[in-house]
Amino acid sequence: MSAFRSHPAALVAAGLGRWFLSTIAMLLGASLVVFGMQAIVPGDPALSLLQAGGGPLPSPEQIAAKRREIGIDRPFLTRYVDWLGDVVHGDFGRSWTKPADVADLIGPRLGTTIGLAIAAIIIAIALTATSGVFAALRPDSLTDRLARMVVVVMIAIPSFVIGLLVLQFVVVDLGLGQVLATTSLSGALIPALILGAVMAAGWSRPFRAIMRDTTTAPQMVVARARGMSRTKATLRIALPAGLLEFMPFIGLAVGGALGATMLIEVVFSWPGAAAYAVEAARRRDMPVIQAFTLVSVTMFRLSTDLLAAARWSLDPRVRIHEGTPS
Amino acid sequence: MIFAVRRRAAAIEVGRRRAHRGIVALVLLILVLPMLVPHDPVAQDLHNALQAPSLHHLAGTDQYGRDLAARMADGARRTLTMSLIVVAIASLGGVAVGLVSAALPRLGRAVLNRTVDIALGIPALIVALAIVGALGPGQRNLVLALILGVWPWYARLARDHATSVERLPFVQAARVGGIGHLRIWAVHVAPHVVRRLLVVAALDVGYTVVAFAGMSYLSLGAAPPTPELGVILREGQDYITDAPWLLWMPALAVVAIVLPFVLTGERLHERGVIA
Repeated sequence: MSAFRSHPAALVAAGLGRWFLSTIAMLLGASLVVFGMQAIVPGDPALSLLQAGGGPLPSPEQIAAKRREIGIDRPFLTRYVDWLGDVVHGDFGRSWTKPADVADLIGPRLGTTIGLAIAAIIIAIALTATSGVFAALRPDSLTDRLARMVVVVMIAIPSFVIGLLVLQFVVVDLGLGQVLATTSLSGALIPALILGAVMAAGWSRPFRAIMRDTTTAPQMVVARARGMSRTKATLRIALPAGLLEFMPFIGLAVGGALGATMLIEVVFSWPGAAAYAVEAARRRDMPVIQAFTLVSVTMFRLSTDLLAAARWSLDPRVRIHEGTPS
Repeated sequence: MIFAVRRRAAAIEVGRRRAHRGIVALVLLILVLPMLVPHDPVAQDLHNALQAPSLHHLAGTDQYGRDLAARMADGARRTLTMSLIVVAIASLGGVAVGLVSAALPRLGRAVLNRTVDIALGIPALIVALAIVGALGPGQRNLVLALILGVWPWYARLARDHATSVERLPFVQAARVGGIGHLRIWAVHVAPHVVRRLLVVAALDVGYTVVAFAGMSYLSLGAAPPTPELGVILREGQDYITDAPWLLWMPALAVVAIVLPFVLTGERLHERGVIA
C-alpha cells in the first residue's frame, strides 16, 4: 500500500482528486455567498429598478410584472438552484437593467480585462526580477537604495491616482491624447505598465529577501568556487531559483490585480469586464455582478493553484519537503 | 550575547513606540485640520469657480467655486475616519474568528477554517464591489462592504500566528506543566496574537484609505457633493485641462496620508518587528 502511495503518478492523481473536490466545494461556497447577496438587498429591487430613471410611482401590477421578469417572485432556494444549474451551462441569466444576456455583456469584455491583467503581471515580474538581481548583486548600493525608495513611494500612491496623473501628463502637458486611445499599442501598454509597476512595488520586498537568501545558497557557493562570475551565477543560478520560490506570490497577487484592474479600466475608460461590473454595481444590476464575481473567484482560484502546481512540478525541493499540493 | 539580545529588543520596542508616535500625530493632525481651514467645504461661489491656488484659496477652487483646501481637509478627515472604522471592526472581528478557531476542537476548527478560506477566495475589492452593488452605493454601505472584504485576512493571520505561537517553548512548557487548553489559549496564546495583529491593523489603515478613496472614485462610496478624497479626484478629472490643481492637490493629499503608514511599515519590516 505504501509503495503504491508513494508512486509519483498515484501522488499526482490523489493530489488532483483532492484539488478538484476542494475547488468544487470552494466554488459552491462562493456561489452561495455571491447569490446570497440578492437576499440582503434592502427594499424591493423591482421597485428601485423601475424608479431608477425617475418618473411616476409604478403601479403594483407593474412592480409584480417586473418581479416576475427578473425572477425574484420565487423562493430564494429555488432561484439559487435554478441559477446554479444555468451557470454550470454557461448561462448567467439576463441583466436586470439591459435587454441582454449577462454572458453576452460580460463575455466579450472579459478578454480586455484578462489581457490587461496578464500584461501587467508579466511587466511586474520583469521589474521585480530586475530589482531583485540588483539587490543580490550590490546590496545597499546606490541603485539598490534608490530602488527601495521608489518602491516605498510607489506603494503609497494608489494605482488609480498614478493613472490620473499620467493621464494628465500625457493628455494635457504633452497634448498626446491619441496615444491613450485603447486601440493603439501605447494605449494598451500605459495602463498595463502602471498596473505592473504598482504590483512590482508590492512584490519587491519579499522577492529581494528571497534573492538575498539564494546568494548564500550552497549551489551559489559551488558555482563561485568553480569560477563562475558573480553576475553570471546570480543570473543563471540564483534568479531561476528565486523566481521559482516566488511563484506562489504571483498567484496570490492575481486577486489584488483584479481589484486594481477595475480602477485602471475606469481611469482610462477601457471597455473591460471589470469597468462594466463597476457600472453594473452603480445600477445594482445583480446578475452582472454575480457573474463577474464568480468569474473573478474562478480566475483567482485557478491562477493560485496553477502556479502552485507549476512550482511543484518545476521545483524538486517542494516535492521532497512538502509532498503533494492539496 | 544576552546583552546584545536585550539591546536589540529594546531597540525594537523604542522603534515601535516612535513609529506609533508618527502615525498618531498624523491622524490627530488630519482630525483637526478641517477646523483650521477658514472656508466651508460645500459652500458654492460660482463667481470664483476654477480659481488657481492663491493666498485666499490655498488650493484653489473647483468648478462650483468651492474652496479646495477646505474640501480636501474635510475629505481627508472623512476618508481617514471611515478607514479607521473599517480596520477597527474588520480586525476585531477577524482576529476574534481566528482566535476562536484556534481554541475550538478539531471539527469546529475545520469548519471555521473552511469558511475563512472560501471568504479569502474572493478578492477583497471584488467582495466590496458585490456588496455595494447589492446594497447600493453610499458611504455607510462602502464601509460595511470593505469590512466584509478584509476581515478574512485578519482571521487567517490570527489563526496562523496562533498556530505558530502554540509551537513555542513557553506554551509547550505550560502544556507539560498541566495547564488546561483554554487557559493556555487565553493567557498565553491570545495576547501574543492580539499584540502582533494590532501592529498589522494599524499599518493597514494606509491601504484601507487607498481602497476607500478608490471605491469612492468609482462612484460606489460617498456621493457628491460630500467632500471625500476619491470623490474630489473623480470630480477633478473632468477639469484636467483647465484646472490641473483639482487633480494634483487631492492626489498629494492621498499620498501624504498613506506614505507615513507605508514608511512605518517598511521600518518595522527592516527591524524584524513584523514578518
